[in-house]
Amino acid sequence: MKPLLEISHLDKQIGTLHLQDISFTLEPGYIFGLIGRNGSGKTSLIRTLLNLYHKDSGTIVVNDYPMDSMEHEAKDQIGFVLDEFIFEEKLSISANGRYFGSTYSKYDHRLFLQFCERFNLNPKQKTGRLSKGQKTRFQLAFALSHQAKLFIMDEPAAGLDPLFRRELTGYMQELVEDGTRSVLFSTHLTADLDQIGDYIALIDKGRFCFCMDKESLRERFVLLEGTEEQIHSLHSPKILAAVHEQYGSTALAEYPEPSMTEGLAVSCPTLAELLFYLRKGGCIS
Amino acid sequence: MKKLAFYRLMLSVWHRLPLFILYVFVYIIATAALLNFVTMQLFINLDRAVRTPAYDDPTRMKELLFGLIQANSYIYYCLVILFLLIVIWLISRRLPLSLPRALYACPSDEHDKLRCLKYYLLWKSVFLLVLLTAICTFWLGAFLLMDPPMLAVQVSLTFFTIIAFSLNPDPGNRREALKVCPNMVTERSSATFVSIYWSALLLLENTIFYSLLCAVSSFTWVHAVCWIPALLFNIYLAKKHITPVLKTMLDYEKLYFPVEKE
Repeated sequence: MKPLLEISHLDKQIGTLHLQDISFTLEPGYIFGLIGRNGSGKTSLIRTLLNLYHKDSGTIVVNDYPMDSMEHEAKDQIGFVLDEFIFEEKLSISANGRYFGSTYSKYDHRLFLQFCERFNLNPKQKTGRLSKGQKTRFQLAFALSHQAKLFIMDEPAAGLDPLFRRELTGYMQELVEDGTRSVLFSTHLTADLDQIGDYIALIDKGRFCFCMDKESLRERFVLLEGTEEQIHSLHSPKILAAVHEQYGSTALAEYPEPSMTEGLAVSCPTLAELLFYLRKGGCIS
Repeated sequence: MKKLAFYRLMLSVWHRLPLFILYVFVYIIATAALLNFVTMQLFINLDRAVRTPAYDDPTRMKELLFGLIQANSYIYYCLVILFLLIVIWLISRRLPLSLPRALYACPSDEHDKLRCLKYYLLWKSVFLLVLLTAICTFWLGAFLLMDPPMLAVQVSLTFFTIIAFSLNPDPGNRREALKVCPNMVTERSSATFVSIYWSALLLLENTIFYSLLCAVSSFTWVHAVCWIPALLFNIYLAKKHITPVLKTMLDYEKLYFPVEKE
């Protein structure tokens, strides 16, 4: 199956941030999660993918349409939910849908109004008066109304209550269920990604520290728990970090050999734990 | 796109309506005071020349004043229009050219975006022209000069003045970006040229033209032909700068600089 998104050696300098050699593909039917701390480059990468920022080098291809030469066709495949609300705040939901929907080849205004009803949005309400959650729902309704294949979301759950976050992860899973669409979303809330992410990429200072599927990630990084002496005795470049606490010590290992894990409790770290230990070990800022 | 451009312009006008009303109000008060002063000065000179004080004879006073105003109508016309052009310029600064931000993410290419900007420029120019005509008609009874040679020059000057005044692009977040990351903010030479030099040149041309109306006894086609070089120069500047100014609006990154969040 041809990938919905192919990024190859993407490079972009934005002020002090330098997106370097970003490469990945996203097949249909998957959810790709992008994590990183504030200022790591998540939003800049997403804006570069949407061609809001012009890349310095590399290629971006959306559903076989190169962004460079076929920007119109490439963007026609993309539904976006951005952290920064860019629609017209003085126009109503319905007016925004109609005006901007006309730029898409497959926009269906009736479908848009149906999604608005499903998401409890009043089409006559001005978008400037919507809450953050409602703005996210509006963008999602709009994205769903023009038969987008690739959904790009920039921190869609930031600043929202856990109930809405759960709803949103449900919508995302629904989107990819049919196997023809994909979601790429950025977040610094790792719990969401733990739950639904098929592929996870960690970005730090503009570079990917890793970009792999969840299963491979589980095989790559493990937590080893034991006494302080046991952890101290682990001398290997595969030990990325070690933390000694009052009630025990823990080390993060990368592709550990069986001999390293003898006598130690082995577990898979959650994404939050992984980030914590990577930071402790100086692997990320 | 046409409707969207129109709605956005009208929303911007509505949002700034109290300020525009204030501009027009101050303009009316200021020009009324100025015209009053000019009339008094002219009357004093006339009174000396006539050597017959007419203060006790209201009918005579009326005749003298009416005659005075008629004889110096171009002075009043000149003052009203020139001050009005400054007000139009001020109003225009508050209605910068802009694209809806969603258009940058939606599938619209350069051609679509330029088309949207041109519609906005068109609606804005029409709005400014209607405003200019309406205020002038309110004050003077008419805007357009009746004499064909004068009308020809006036129409061409007004056309280019409105275009130049309308060509002020949205600064985006330049001001904020200049404070936080000044080395990232790039220069926009065409926009600067149009907003300062071309606008100033057109104001000067308007001043010269309306002053000429007061100075010469009759404005003929010979006088009008002398304005052809200015017209050609304005055409050249319009061709050189309109598209570059509009194109500065196409780059999202340069308009909305990525200011680092704290």
